[in-house]
Amino acid sequence: MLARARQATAAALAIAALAALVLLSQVMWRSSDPDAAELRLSWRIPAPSFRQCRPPTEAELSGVLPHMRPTEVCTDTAIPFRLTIRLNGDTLHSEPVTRSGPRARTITIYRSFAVSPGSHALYVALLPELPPNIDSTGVDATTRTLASDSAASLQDLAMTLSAQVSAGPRDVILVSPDENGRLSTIVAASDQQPVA
Amino acid sequence: MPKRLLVRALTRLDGWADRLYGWKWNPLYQSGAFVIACLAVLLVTGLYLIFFYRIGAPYESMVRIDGQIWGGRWIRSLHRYAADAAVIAAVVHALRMFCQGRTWGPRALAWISGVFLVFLLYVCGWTGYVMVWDAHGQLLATEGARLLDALPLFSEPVSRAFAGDGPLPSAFFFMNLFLHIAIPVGLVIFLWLHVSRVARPVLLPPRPLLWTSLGLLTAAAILLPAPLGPPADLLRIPGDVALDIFYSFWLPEASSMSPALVWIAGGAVTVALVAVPFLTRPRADRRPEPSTVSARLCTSCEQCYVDCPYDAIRMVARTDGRDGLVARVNPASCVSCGICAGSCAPMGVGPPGRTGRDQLARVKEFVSRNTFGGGEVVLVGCGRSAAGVARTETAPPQFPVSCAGNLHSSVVEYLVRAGARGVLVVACPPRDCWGREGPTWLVERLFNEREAELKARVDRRRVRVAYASLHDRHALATALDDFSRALDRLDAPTGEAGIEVDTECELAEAPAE
Repeated sequence: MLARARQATAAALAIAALAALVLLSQVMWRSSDPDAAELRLSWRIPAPSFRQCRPPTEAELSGVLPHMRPTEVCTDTAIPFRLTIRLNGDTLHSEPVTRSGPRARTITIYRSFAVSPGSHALYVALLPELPPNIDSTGVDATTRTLASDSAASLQDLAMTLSAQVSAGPRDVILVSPDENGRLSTIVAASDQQPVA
Repeated sequence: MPKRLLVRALTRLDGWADRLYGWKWNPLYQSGAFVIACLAVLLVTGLYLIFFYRIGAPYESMVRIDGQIWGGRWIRSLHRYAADAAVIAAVVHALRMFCQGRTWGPRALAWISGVFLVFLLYVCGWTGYVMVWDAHGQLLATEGARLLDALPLFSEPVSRAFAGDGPLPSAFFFMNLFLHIAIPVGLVIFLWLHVSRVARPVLLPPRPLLWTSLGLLTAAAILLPAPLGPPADLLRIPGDVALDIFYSFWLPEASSMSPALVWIAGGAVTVALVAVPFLTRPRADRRPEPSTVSARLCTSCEQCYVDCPYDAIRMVARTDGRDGLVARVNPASCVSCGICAGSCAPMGVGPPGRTGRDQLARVKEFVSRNTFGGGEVVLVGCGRSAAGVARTETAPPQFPVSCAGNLHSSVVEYLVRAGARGVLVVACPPRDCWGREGPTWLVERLFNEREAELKARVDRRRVRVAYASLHDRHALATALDDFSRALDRLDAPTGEAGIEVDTECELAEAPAE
């Protein structure tokens, strides 16, 4: 009798352990606030830079073999941009952005913010922060010019978006360039229509 | 202090499980072998699932697999439950080794490789869940990307791949699939490292336990199949998600922490785990000394070399002018279990103070202190067995040994010939022996004529081996009662005086060292 009771306990314990394994392998977890939406920005632009060139000095030339002497020495300086996000007229975010490293050729924007569901007036801008002596076309009146591998005009790189968007709970409002490279498309959650 | 509590809890749990399942089928003793059994199940079920998985449409292929009521659904569930069981078994195994102090010295390699095995198991599980590409997989993928972005490795954020501005490339799922298949290869390599310092590693649980466990897991997979979550949607924030606590226990906490903090916490845990062998190593003056060999006494029989559970003994050419080989202990591999001492008929090998000759000297002194006029049973107990805590005034006289495998058969012979009514050797359960194979070799030596055997002149009816874990006093009491009843049927013992025990290679026979 005692042995039977022990066997029954042993079997019950094994089944309970198995049930615990099954239950613990599927514990429900609320991963996010059910009353929140998300504003997500994601795009990439070529990273422009200014090139400043000058003739090499005698000292620089003396250390180089004759057939390897450069005609000019150039320094590339990245052009900083500023990302500004306004929601319903209030500044949600503003920060300077630049290329991720000295040799990187692109500026990547990837940011996400929790926003309340509903309709919002959204303004997003990524604008170059021009030094004082640079005009809006990016041409320096004195010595600096845009690097040859950069875009022809800084104006082409400026991206702005101003739109009315609406999002439901747990929706993602995605700000991303369209096929023309313009920041004019907002892809909202899958069950919503894109808002221009 | 917490370790002491942990040890106490574990030993009590062992005793309790022993009473319930018996030491042969106590699953706690099979934790390491269970991990390998689960990995084998994962391999077989994974091979089936791979035929139906499509990297171009991962979730859809999972739905199709889930639709196969007679095959895919329960095989997928079995794959998942076996993965969960592997984690549980690995954690139990690590806890056992930690509590038993089997982490440092020659065992450090096994511990550290074990830590990496668990790490690989987790990475493999991570990729497996991402492969499903449901809401849980999406969370793991985005969290993984968030963590990777904190490292200065990538020129642009990995998270951008999950922005939702386009479909995820098949390459992502191909990489996941590749890792999910390639990591088990790494597991095999680390598994080899893990057991490389032990002789005759036990890779699978006993068959009845193996098949019962597999049957239970299969039944759970059929009756309670693992649910498939809603499909991943990068333009929706996942809501309520069915979390596998065994693989994703960290996710709720980590997702609310900064990535840097997660890395620091993860790194700290990893460093602490890897450092366990160094942190748990006893002070130099408290470390048990490795075995030594007396070349003068060694008869080249190779039995210690065969019996050593840690491959710490090699047979090398003699340098003392005699023919043949001599045993040599590698101190770096020796855990000082003393099993070699029990295997050496001429008592020429063993840890200092625990060789057969040392034991014989101790037993002579023990007999001189205890008179067996009343025909008492003598308990010869391993300190890690129930005999280790059974020292009460009413308990029979006890002769402690460090491990049942360390016990030399001559000690048993001496006790019986000195007039003990019987000798009950109390050992740890064989699958839980600190020295791995102590009880196994002991039984072979006492009853099956293994080298250093108990001499034929000793009445085997007066010798018995019982297995009882530290807190399983019930097993010890039962064994003692059974043995006493069996001894009642025998004549009263007659003690000999001036007992001489054979040592096959007398000092006088060998040239001086």
